[in-house]
This record gives sequence, C-alpha cells and structure tokens, in this order.
Amino acid sequence: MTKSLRINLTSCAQCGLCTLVCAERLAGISDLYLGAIRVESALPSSYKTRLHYCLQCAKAYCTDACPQQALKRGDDNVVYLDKESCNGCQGKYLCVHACKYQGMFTDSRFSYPLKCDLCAGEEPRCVSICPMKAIKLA
Amino acid sequence: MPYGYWGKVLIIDAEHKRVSELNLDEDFYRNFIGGRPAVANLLLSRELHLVDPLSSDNEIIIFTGPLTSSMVPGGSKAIWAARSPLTGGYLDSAVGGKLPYHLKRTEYDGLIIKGSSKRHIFLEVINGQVEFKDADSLWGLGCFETEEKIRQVYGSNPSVSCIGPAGENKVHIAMVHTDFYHQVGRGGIGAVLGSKNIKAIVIEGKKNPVLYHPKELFQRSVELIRNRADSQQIQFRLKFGTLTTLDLNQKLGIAVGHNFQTGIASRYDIDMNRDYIKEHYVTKNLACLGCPVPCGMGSTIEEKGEKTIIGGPEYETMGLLGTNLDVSAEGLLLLNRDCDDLGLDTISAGNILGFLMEAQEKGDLTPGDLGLELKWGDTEASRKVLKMISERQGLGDKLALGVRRFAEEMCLNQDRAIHVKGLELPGYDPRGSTGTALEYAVADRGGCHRRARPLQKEQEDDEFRLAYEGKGQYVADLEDNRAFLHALVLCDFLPKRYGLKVDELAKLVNLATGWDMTSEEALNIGAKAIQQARIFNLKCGVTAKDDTLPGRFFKQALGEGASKGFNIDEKGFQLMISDYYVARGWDCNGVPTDETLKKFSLEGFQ
Repeated sequence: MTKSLRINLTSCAQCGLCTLVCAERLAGISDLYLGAIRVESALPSSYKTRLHYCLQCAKAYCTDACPQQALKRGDDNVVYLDKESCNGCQGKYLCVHACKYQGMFTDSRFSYPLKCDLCAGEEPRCVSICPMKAIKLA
Repeated sequence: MPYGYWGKVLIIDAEHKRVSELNLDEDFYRNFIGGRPAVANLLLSRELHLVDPLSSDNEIIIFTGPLTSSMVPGGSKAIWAARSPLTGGYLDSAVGGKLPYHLKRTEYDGLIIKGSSKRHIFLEVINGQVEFKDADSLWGLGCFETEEKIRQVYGSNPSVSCIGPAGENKVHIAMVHTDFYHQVGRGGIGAVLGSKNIKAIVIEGKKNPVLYHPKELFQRSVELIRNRADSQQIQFRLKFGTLTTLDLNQKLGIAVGHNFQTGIASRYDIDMNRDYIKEHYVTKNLACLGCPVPCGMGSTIEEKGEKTIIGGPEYETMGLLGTNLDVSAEGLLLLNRDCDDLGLDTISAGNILGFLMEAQEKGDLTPGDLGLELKWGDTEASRKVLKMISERQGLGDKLALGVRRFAEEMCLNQDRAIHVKGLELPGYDPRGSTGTALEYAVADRGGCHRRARPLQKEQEDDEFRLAYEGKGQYVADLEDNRAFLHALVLCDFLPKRYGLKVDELAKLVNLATGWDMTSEEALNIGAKAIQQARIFNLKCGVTAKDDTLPGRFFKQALGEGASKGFNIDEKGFQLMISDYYVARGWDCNGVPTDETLKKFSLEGFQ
C-alpha cells in the first residue's frame, strides 16, 4: 500500500507553513517557492484551496518520463529523486511536465525538481507543523 | 550588510516614475531595529511634519524588521507609516497577510513611496524591480474586485495591497486592503495612497535575507510552534479568533454601545456573541502567511440569493460596527464587508455611524440633513451612509473627514465625538479601565488599543482597574514592551501565547543579527519609538492639550452593565497624565526634557 499525504482542504487556513518547513528541508531555507507542497488560494473570490504535492502515484508518470532513471520507487513505495543522477533534462524537466497532478516543482535556483519524499521515513514536517491539523499521512 | 537586513530601503517616486535607494548602516538598525522605531526616525529625518498629509510631498514608509517572516511565531507583520490626514500627526499601522514575507524578500528592508502620479497607476515591485503600471481599468473598483483582477494576472502567491473608492476619494478614514482579510486600517493611510493616484501595490520577492544563525533560529521557532500547538490558549484562539474579547468586555461592562453610552452589547444574548457568529457564519480560519495561529475568521452570508464571503468579523469590527450600533450579527457582517470593499476603517466608520445615530436620536441632526433616517440597529441605512462617505456624496463629504472634524464643522456636541487626537476609539469603554483611558489619551497615533493593553492586569483586580494611582509608569512600561514587538515586527497576539518575553525575543533577534542585544537595550529601543513619535507630533502641533479623552467620559457615567455609574474623574485623569509624563521624562507640557533627548540620542530632532 502506498502512503501519501491526505489533506482536508476545508480546514486549510492557507498559512503556508507546510511549504516553508518543507523548503527548509529541501533547500535549507524557509522559502515559499522552494517547498514540495504548495498552497493555491482562490481568495478573494472564494475560499476554495488547492494544495499541490506528490501523491506517490501507484503508476508514477514521473518515473516513466525520467531519461536518467533518477526517480525510483523505494521499498516503502515512496518515489525518491536521486539528485546526483538528475540533470533536470537540461532544463526540460520531463518528469515535472509528465506529472498530471502538478505535484513536482522547479525553481531557477536549483538544477533538479523539488519533490515530496514524505521526509524519507521521518514524520513529514508538513504534517507536524500544520496548525489546523489538515495534513495527515495515510 | 548587517545580518538579518538588506541595509537599504527602496524609494519609489510615483511623480517622476523613478526609483532610488536609501542606504542605512548597521548603526541605524542597532539603534532602531526596524518597524515602529525605524519609521518614526524616518518620518522625523525626512521632515514629514512639514508636509500636507494629502499633498504629493507626504510619503508612505513601509518597514519590516529582523524577525519578519523568519518563522518566529508572529513574524508576519510589517509597519506602514505617514503623516496622518485624519489626525495631522504621527501615524503607523501594522498589517499582515503576504506583504511582510514578500517585502522582506525584495532585497530591501522597506519601501518609501513619494510623489503623486499624474495618472492612475499601480506599482509592481518584483524582486526589487519596479514597474509603474496603468490602473485606469481598476480605478473606481472595490477592494475585492481590484485584488481579484490583479490576481488574475499575478496569481495567488504575491502580495496585493489596494485601495477602494474611499482611498481614491481621499476619505480621511480610508484604509489599505491587503491580501484579502488584512487591512492597514488606521489613520487614513488609504487616503495618502489615493492622493498619490496609486490604486494598488503588487509585491513579490524571492531573495532571502542572510541571517546570522538561520538553522538555530528556524529550529527554535519550529520547536516553539510544535510544543505549543495544542495549548488551550492557542486552540481557543484558533476557534474564535478575537471574537472572545467581547465576553471579557461584556463581563467588565466596557463593551461599546450606542456611541459609548451603555458599556454593554444589548444583543449579546441574542446573536452578537462568538458562539452564534461561529456557528452561523464562520466558514474558515484564515492566516497571515507563515502564522502558526490562523486567527482570522472567514465568514459567508447569503445576500439576494448569492453567497458572499467576508474576512471577519474580528473584535474591533464587532464592537464598533456591531455592538455600538445595535445591529444584528448579519447586519454586522454586511457592514464589515461594505467597509472592507469600500476601503474604510471599520473602527472609524463605526464611530461615525454611532455619532450620527445619536445626533439624529437627540434631534441635533435631522434625517433631512443626512438625506435619510438613521436609527440604532438600522443596517441598510448604515450601508447607505458608508457609501456616501466613501464617495463623498452629500453630507458624506464632511463625514469623510472623521468624527472630530465632522462635529466641529457641523457645530455638533463634541463631547459625543468619540476620538483622541482625531482617531476614533476602538472597542473598550475607558470608564471601566483607567489604564485604557490613559493608553488612549497618550497614544501617539491617537485613540489606540494596541499600544499597551493595561487590561491584562486590570481584568484580574477591580480595584487596580479603576485606580488612578500607579498607572503612569505601568502604561509606559507596557508601551515600551509593545513598541519593541512592533520593531521586530511581531504580531501583538503571539509572543504571550508562546511564552516569549523580552529577554527571549532579544535572543531571537541576536540569532538573526549576530548582535548581543539585552532586554534593557530592547526596551530602550521600544521607548525610543515613543519618544520619536512624540517629537514628531509636537512638530505637527499635536501637543499635551491633545492628551485627553472625549468630554463624554468625564461628564457622563456609563449607563448599563458592570461598570454602570463610572466616569473618568478629571483630577484622577490629570494625575495619571502627570505620572505618565514623569515616567516618560517629559516636562509638565508633555515635551521631552533635554535630559531625555540626550538619553535617547535624539537631540538632533529638538
């Protein structure tokens, strides 16, 4: 059974803490544009919230798209990115475009995509920081 | 470049469509930290006391601090400042939303907006690069539609601040709406932006400031957030936001009712209470970016068959537009929404409506004067008046000047115009809290509840709550503490809930900056903010004569509730003022002595 994040969008208060703590782990700095989970708000017209993150799909389009085999499913069924093997497809980021759920991200400050790996076995930071307890690992 | 800062401020000249930089050295930051002390210094050094608040010479200064958007709980605030069109004196006003995060990442510690554009524009400030964009298609729109249209182009990430019709029409109680639900509310800063023909400011930043010890600051912040997440105080705040404040004020008899006559919320047991509003209207908690206690209440109502979303209510709005006017909970939400969309400060607008309702009730103003009948509890008539004010139609043109000037120009009973220094009062009746009375009277920006909060101790001790002795030093100390928070810039609500006292906050500042700041130095800088604001006010002609309260509070006792029968004793009040002046190092005319100026190294501003 694949584990992934489950999010209660009704509860999400759009504080962005999930993104900021995730970015600190991935990039060493709490930066809104460097996390692997992103909050999209529809305010002021609606309370609708969208969260973008890797669903650890059973059939992962990203792994199929990667020409370097840098994206691999681990024994825990989580899809991991091997940054050493990844060359960002010379800027094409085929995996990012292959993802049907907008669950991977790029930023010009990094040569590889930003992707959730559920904190590699530790309690995911986004789960433990969320003040609304809207994010769970299931 | 000092750690935790960029060492510079971006100056945007809207008139000549030019930008420049103001470089600030480490001494500036060590002396003023950021936020309130920094803007007070800039208002003085840039001699803004000499300018007409609504002329092109006035400037809007927006400043962050070393802990802005650092993950320290509460670091989601920035300070706006200008010479106020409402009071004619010092003005700062804090705001959250996404603005503090993005401003701190523009490679500047703040912005100064000067000059007035000849055409309608909005400012795009992305990574420190400024574009002056045409805003003709946005001019005339309400705040919500303006933000929505801008976000259709820029997306949900950047910060969007804008004005509504009130700001465009230079209404003196106009606010700046920021990132849905947040407002730079007080003192008419929206009118200053409108006078510059600037409809909106879009800010996006991706450059992270270099901190001295980022890992430790991050870890300490995350530990604090996680360890306190389930505390009762924080969970309660998440559940009700600031709506619970009415419970305390109702209990103490210091809620506002009928233009500060009653001291109670008459509909408290019907629908004007936290539980009813939470159950019937609140849809969602809303947060400032990076805040671990999303205390904003996002509500929904149905109007004419359509669902409308409302940022709020929070307590001050509930007090001044709700309990004060005796409207229903639904009426409060509609007035809340109208003010937010038109770009009006809800506190000031509620005061003006209360003043009008009382004036009509007592026959000082006829329905013919206003063009409509306005009675307590009448939401629809109130909504019409809000529109008249924001569009300056009919008597709305005079109402737009604020309650003080309206009462003066119409020769109405000024004892009932509830303001200090021209700034309308918030939702605590001072007759049941002498500390609040003093806080209001001496607050630099005028009637303000965010400078000290003396109720903190008063609420537990009725004798102390009503005493005049011992309040001068007490309020001054609380003010220094608050001003230090506002230097960092931290939200008022969070440090206490995370057990962060001044010494602990100074340590966090040191992690960001590499300094060895002590709590004594920290509080001294807080006090410096107040000294500078005082000097600025004196230069503006706002003096000791303005350190007072509306006549009503001296002459008329509270009519109902737990503080019924209390009024402010003139002699007791003067004792508090004198004690406060001594605590501040001011002479009997409220002027900082030479010794005080020397102590704070402010002799240059004499």
